[in-house]
Amino acid sequence: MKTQLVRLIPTILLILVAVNQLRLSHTQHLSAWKGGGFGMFATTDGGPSRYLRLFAIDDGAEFELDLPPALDELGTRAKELPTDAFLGRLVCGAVRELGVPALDQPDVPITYDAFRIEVWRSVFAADDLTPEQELIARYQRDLSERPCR
Amino acid sequence: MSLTSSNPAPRGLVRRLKGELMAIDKVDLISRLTLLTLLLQPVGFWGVRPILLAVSVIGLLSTTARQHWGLWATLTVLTGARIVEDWPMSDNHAYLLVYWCLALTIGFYRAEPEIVGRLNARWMLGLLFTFAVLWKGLLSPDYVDGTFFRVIFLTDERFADAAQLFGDMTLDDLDLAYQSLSQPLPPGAELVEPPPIPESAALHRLAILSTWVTLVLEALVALAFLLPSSLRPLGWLHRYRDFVLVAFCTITYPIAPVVGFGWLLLTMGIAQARDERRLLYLATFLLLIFYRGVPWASLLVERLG
Repeated sequence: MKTQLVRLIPTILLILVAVNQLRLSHTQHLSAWKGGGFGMFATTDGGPSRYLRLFAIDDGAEFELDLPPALDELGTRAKELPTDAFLGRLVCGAVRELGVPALDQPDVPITYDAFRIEVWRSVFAADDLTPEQELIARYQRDLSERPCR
Repeated sequence: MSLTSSNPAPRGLVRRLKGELMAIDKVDLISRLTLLTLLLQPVGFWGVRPILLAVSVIGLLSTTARQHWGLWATLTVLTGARIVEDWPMSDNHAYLLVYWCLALTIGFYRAEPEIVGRLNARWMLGLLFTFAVLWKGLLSPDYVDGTFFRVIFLTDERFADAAQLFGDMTLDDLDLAYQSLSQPLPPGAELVEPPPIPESAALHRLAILSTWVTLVLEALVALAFLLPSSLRPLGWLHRYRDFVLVAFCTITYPIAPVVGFGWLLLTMGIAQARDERRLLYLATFLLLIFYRGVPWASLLVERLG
């Protein structure tokens, strides 16, 4: 029995990773295409059908911003697995890239109170493929309470 | 050592080649094919890829190296490092490659590579197709109704040739479809006159056919590899598992852009198959090289205008 288990370690690993992928898909919206669960070519949800929207918030007003190109790679990961960890890193990356000052630089003119990042996906109607947009994750960081380091 | 050549006639040459391929030790053959797959489809980022390629070349050139567990442990670590570094972006075959290298590591370490290879190949093939069927048949809301393949054929440029060849679509149609489907409006916004999404009846049929052929083939592979042959009523499938897997690879990879996955599946197929099926697998391995190397769909689209 023990011998057989040792022999089958790779297969056991495959099962564990695939089950974990199922868990992450259902709890964290991990794309079926990723994570080692063998869900490639099973759904339109993933890759180009997901997209990010970045908002800066100042005095209650919201401004939608383009994600800085330097964050493209991190953004791609965050789209496929929109956890708070990835989205938080994206927000702080945006703070750095967009030149928002740290709290100890109050004389710099452009400041925002908070940043929010949202992950959306297109869902296609089965009859005529009309896409509808669905919000799957959002992360907001109030910079006065939790400045980026 | 001197090289001699007897220059046999073509028929004799084929017979000799066949004999030579059949005479290769099974473990040596699957080791070589795995290394070849790593060379044909290099993986990993710059910090990993050159080392992976170098280790693979050493393994192909040296019998001692490729029969040593250390080489396979190195490849397991390197292919695994790629997944960690790239998390969560690696494709499924990246994971399978790690598991397979690990199986060979354990096999050579325990001095029973054939047993470990055969066991893991059979179970991993059965299980990965089971998970694939689970996703397509039960967990995805847009697969069984054909939406997935309709969208993919209309928007994914890797499928554009197939959409033109078999779906009666033009490049202009595909451009228009791409703009309609891949450039989302802000939430809540609606166009007064949304452009129609061009979708021919032929493309719709192609999508439905692709949906069900893929699902049925994957389910057959899963059943054929997992069910014991003694189990009624479907146990007989197990005897035909090699043909089902080869049929899957032959039908899927002219269109699906993941030939590296196919090579790995075929290598694992050889590991668990009886020797008389070896040439079938090797011929399919070669066929996949042509699928990847020859832009047959583009050529046909060009030729047919």
